[in-house]
Amino acid sequence: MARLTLDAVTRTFGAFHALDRVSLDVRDGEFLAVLGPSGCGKTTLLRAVAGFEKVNGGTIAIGGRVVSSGTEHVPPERRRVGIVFQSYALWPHMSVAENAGYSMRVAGAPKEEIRRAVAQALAVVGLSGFEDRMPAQLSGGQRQRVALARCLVQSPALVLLDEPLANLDVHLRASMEDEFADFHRRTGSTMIYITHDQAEAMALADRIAVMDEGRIVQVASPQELHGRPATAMVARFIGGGLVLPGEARATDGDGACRVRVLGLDVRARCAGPVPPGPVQVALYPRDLRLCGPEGPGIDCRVTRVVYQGGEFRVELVPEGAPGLRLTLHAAESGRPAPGDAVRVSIDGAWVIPGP
Amino acid sequence: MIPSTAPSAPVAPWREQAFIYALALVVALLSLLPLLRLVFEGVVQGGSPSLAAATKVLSAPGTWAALRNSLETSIGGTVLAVLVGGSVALLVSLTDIRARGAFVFCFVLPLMIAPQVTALAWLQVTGTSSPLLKLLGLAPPLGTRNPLYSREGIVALLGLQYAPLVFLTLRAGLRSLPRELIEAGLAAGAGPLTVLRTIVVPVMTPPLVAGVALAFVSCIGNFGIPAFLGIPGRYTVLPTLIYQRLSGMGPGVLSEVAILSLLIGAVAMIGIVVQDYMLRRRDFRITASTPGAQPFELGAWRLPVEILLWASILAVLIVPFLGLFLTSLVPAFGVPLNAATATLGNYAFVLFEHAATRRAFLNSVLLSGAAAGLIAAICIPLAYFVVWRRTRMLRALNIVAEMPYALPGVVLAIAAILLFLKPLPLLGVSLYNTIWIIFFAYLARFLVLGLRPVVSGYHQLDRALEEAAQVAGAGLLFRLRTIVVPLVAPAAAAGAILTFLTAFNELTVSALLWSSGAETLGVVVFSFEQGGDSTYAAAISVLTVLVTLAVMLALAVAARRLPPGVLPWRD
Repeated sequence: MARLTLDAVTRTFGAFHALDRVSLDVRDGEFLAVLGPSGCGKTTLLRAVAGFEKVNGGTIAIGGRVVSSGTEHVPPERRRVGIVFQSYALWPHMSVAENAGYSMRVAGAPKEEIRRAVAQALAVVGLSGFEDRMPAQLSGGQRQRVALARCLVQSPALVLLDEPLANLDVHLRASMEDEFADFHRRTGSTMIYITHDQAEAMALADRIAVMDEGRIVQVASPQELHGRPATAMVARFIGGGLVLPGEARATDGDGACRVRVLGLDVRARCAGPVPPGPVQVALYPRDLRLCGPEGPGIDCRVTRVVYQGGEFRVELVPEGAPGLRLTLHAAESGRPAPGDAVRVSIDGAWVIPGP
Repeated sequence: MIPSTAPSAPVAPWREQAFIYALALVVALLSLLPLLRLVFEGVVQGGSPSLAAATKVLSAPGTWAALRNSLETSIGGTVLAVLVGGSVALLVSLTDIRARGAFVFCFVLPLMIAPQVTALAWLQVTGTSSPLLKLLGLAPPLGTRNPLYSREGIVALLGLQYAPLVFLTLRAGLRSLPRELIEAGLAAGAGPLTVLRTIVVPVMTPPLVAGVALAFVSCIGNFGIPAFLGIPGRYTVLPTLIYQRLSGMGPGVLSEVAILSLLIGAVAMIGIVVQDYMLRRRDFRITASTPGAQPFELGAWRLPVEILLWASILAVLIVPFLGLFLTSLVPAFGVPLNAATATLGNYAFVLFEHAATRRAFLNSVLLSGAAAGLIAAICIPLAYFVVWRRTRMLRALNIVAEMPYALPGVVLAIAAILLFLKPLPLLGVSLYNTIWIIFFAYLARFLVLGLRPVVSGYHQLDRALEEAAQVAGAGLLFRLRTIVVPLVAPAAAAGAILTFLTAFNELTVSALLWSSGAETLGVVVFSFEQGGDSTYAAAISVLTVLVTLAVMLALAVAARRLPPGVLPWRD
């Protein structure tokens, strides 16, 4: 069983809080992505779970056993955790088979048993017959597969993946994503996937934990993060939301309310009853639409029109608020040109419940 | 797949701690203890605190004369080294001369040749009985005093010996000089010379000053050149004064020579501190990314410059060693050399007949080889903790380990005598007057030579390689054996060979520590030369140069497998 539990884990470097009271509960067999901008602490989180960083406070438990706390520290070699490194970390002086079979060699398994397990793992990642190659003779994708095979042989209950696709080109990424999903199905291990790439996280994970400044700000499914961000940071980071000050007017029930934003009355979604008063409102490009001059809307000037494969991204500045930048998507027909005066209607919004 | 067994209970890392403490103990014994012992001797003699020895030494006029001579020759030698090494570094790094690699190899070669051999070679080529000059009919008349037996002679040879040091420091700086800095200057309309004056030289000030300081410290600690040129010329510098007092009066004057070595150590420290400060500064100044300046085209000047550069190699490398080689073929000192008189008898004598020389060959090979091997074995785990684990105690000792090498060799030699003159506590055995005191001194002095390449090797390795082994369940010793050692082996081998070559050519330390039966090659060459047997000294020197050259060439061939930056003479 490899449920992973973090309880108020803190890691400081001098005055800097790399991890600030991080709590997280990952179910056995779950695929969780940790997503955040660079410097948010996600790598420190992974290294703390693996045992490469000690924690100053809080506890980390793997499968119910406390491995890290302020007073206790189980070294990485005794945690039975697998890691797929960003740099693959294949040993250049060992063949593919020696790389893959290393953990069994450490455990003192008989040679024949190691050979069988390695052959089986290499077959799973599609590298049968590559046993005697050296890592230097492999392509980037093949190296990543060897790293996966090495992890398979070790068959850890908890697998940590540290931005494993960052060094691969775009075409290879998609096929490696499939490979990871397959790995997860096959082994049933709990997997923690560190990344700064939203698309990757959404394609793979059951749940995503968004980190910022050493804290976990929201743990939720990809859809929920996109539609119901808990904080302004999540709204901005995921899906390019624009966060604006608004004024709550009334709660309608059923998770809907009315807010005034940019001088318009908008029907917005919300997490619960919203007391009247100032609120933060998230607007996504999908909430904005070009409308005729007669309806209610915001008068804007188009500053830029960028083609984005199938549709256009239109950037606008409201006439009444020149410091603001709005973005919406427009179809090929009827798109405005830079400099045009247009009117934009707001079809929906989300009232951010948190800070 | 591994059966999922219950994870074993966490083990206290006491074994790792014990390992770290053992390493710390070894480094402290080699680096810290001798220096502490020396400082202790300066203020405590015969068991009671006293400044009597210090007062006596510091009030002797000979001390100040030697200090003044030391400073004169060191400053003169440094100026010459900077002029030669600095201008060659600029030419080699910034212009489009051809055959750069071969030139760098030849230019740096004198650094790997023992100073006493350089001195001997120059004496042979300029003296009244110079076979080379006689062949050319240019030999000075008999009875003429060799002009090298003088302050100016010492300055000239020190300058030539350490020009490669300045060259290497400045060249390292120039290689990391971002190309954009030069290109931006050219784009602003400055000519190459203006760019050199207003951009390159100012930006290169820290490595240049560091090179100056390094050359100064090396000059002030040099023993071989002032011993060969200054002792016959009655021109005494601090290292030769220490040597003469100790060999003339024995260990009875230990307290006094301890003061003298503290004095020379203090002067050297100034240079070490300046060098350290300047090398630190270098990292902060240059921020841009693409190093490797595009060479300036010399155009019509290229051939003359190339001829000049190779002519300088001819003058400072080929001619003296040709002279040395010719002397080694002379049947007896003073006999003219021609096809009829040339003989290999000197080689036969030193290789097969003279017992002390045969012993010295064996001693030097064994001492240098064993020191190189043991140092490599210490440095692999030491650098592991210093670079990757950033263990605080070992990081501090890493700095201390620099001292026995940075300080002049006589300082360490005197410290070793003080340490081992009395029998070892508990064991009751004395290392003094045995080969083991030289072995200890070699370990202490050359530890850092083996350490530096290994440290840079670790810096170039991805630490994830070790972490991957760790998550696979491998403990520290297993990881070191299966992952770490194979990966840093090339760097450690380069360090070991560097250590071997330096120890093999060494004289300063063994000149003070040798005893009958425990001679080194340096000591034998020195004795032959002092006894007037220059032909034997030349024969041994030629042999050591050949060994050095062979090892360096072998290493140059294997250099492709080494991480960059571990071989000083590789371009």
